[in-house]
Amino acid sequence: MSDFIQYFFNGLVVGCIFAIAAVGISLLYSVLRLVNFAAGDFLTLGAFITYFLSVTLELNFLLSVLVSMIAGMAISWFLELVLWRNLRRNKAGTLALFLVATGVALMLRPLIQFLFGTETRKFNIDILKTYDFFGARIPQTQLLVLIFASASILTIALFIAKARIGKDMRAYANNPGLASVSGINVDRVVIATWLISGALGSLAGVFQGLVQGQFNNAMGESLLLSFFAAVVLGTIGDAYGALAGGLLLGLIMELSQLGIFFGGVPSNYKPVVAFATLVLVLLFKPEGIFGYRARKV
Amino acid sequence: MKAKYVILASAIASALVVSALPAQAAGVDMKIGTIHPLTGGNADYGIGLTTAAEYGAEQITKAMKAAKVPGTCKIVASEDDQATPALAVEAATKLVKSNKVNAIVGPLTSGSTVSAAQSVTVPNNVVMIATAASSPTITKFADKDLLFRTYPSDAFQGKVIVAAVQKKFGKTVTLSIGARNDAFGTALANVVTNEWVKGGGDIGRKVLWNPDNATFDSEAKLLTEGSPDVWVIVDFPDTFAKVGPALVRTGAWDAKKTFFTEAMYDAAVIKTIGVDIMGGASGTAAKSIGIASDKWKKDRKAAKPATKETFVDASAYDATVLLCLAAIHGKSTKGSVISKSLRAVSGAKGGTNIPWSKLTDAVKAAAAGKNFTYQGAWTTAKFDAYGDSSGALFRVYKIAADGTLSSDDAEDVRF
Repeated sequence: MSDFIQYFFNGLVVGCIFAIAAVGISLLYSVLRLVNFAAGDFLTLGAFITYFLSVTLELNFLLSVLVSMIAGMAISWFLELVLWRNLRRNKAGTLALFLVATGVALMLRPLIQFLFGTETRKFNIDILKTYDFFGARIPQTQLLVLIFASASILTIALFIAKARIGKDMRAYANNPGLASVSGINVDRVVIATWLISGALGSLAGVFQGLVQGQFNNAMGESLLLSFFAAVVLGTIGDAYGALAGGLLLGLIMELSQLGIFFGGVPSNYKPVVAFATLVLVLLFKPEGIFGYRARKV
Repeated sequence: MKAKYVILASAIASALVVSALPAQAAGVDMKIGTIHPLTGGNADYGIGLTTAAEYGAEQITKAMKAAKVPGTCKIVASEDDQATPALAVEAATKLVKSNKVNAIVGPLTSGSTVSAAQSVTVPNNVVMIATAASSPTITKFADKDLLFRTYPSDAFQGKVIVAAVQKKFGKTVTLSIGARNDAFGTALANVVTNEWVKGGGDIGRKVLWNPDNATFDSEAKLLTEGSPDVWVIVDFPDTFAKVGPALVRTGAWDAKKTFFTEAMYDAAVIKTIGVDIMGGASGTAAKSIGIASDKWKKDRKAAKPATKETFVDASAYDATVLLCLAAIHGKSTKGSVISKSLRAVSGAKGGTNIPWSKLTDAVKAAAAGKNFTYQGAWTTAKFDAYGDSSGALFRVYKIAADGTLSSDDAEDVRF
């Protein structure tokens, strides 16, 4: 039983991080048809800004996280104003947008290196402390991540479902033409999407940095494929699907190592398990686990 | 008419003089590129190796001048692969296609070495000498005799680790192995497994982890299952910085019962990962079998101080010097010629011993087309049929509770 709790907990933590990062990617795709290849680097940037504020400048950790999220939002907004908006006006296609996003990622990486160096970093938080829970050992940092990530996921879900701008985003994603003529402020929707995506990217970076204990400038890009897998698994462009896809992917990867599954899948095959699941799901449900729904986002 | 004969006689005389000139006059312009991790978790090693290669190129160019051999040996570009195979391929492509290098020094890691060789250097007939790639798989890699290495194979290190564990804990205890899932980790884990079983011991768990994992807590749990008596961990600093805390959090892992490989033989690395995590552990690391390596360190520090220095820097110095000597010996910068001449200058075909401190003599011997044995600051390579350097020396090191590294020469193992 303790083994199950341990792997389940590990899976939940990984899944929450995947979910938060994936929902930002999914929102951008649903509203702007943009495959944000720079998402991983926004994650790294968020972790490094938080490190700079909380460790180098010795500011309060929570305050540092908040400032880091605001910085993520500001950078996303800035890029929307100077880059993405102009590309859309010039009728740039999905492939062109994808390539530009890749270019942004390639520019962000050396910028992060230049600003923060390449050394391995860690937050000023005890990464070795654990709590016993029915025989399982729950790390303090991961417990914190689970609590805050769960709260964030709930907030995102409620925001999209209940807030005015959330409803506008859903409407625009579902039918941009109809949304525009029905009085929805498209610019407001687009900027809100970027702001949410930027904030979530930074937050996921901090969570990932906490969970790993130590991180370097390659942290985000190494996880990008998993984030996209979560987006596809949960149905591309569906924010709720991305949340579910992320959680499911994390749980599948970690639980596959339990002895009850053919003696436990070797840990180096964790990605194989994840992507085999993705392929299987797509085979029977090509649109992802949430399927095609009229209500997107 | 008379003038015609005078001109003809002068031309013949000039031709005779030119052909009779000593072979030292033959020279080459050798362009070398380096690939090492200059950023990321392995940057300490990469920066030291790159600077050492530059030092080697400067020294051999000086020696060429002193020996009156025309030409130069230059490091034209130093690329950063962050110890990542994909980036190593990009770096090698840039060096070969854009910088038009004649040879490459590096990469540091086995994964990068195999990828760069397979995709770039071998298809383009460019010689590469890896500076710290240790995977046994490199030995029989299909490289058209273009891939060499100055660092000993893990076929040796695996035996040394097992011998060290047996000495400390006995031959019949249960050993669990944790390794990164790449060319370096899997190959060395296999060597250790085979040697340990051959010696009569039991293998508890063998856990391979993907360096890109989001977390390593599940891997840490697996590795500590069954309460093994001792662990061997094959990893690089940047990944173990994440695996280490996860192992401590299991509450079932003991650093004092753990052996690492050479990647952790660096005080700065131990400090970064955490003394509270690594204190008390042991490990094995290749040691220089070169000539007067302490003097080389002093000379290099004085001539070309590096921001980072590690135990293996001289490997890149020797690689650079050997490549230039081979080019001079073969009077060509063609890959196939350098490849053949590398054996002629490294001692594989015998000949007089010439230490690194007498580079002018080495250049003269190379220019004269003689076979000789270059005795480097890191190794006397004597490249074998596979391009591996012959012979190896390993130290068994200990990490004190405060992170200090120590080793006893009496425990060194030589092959």
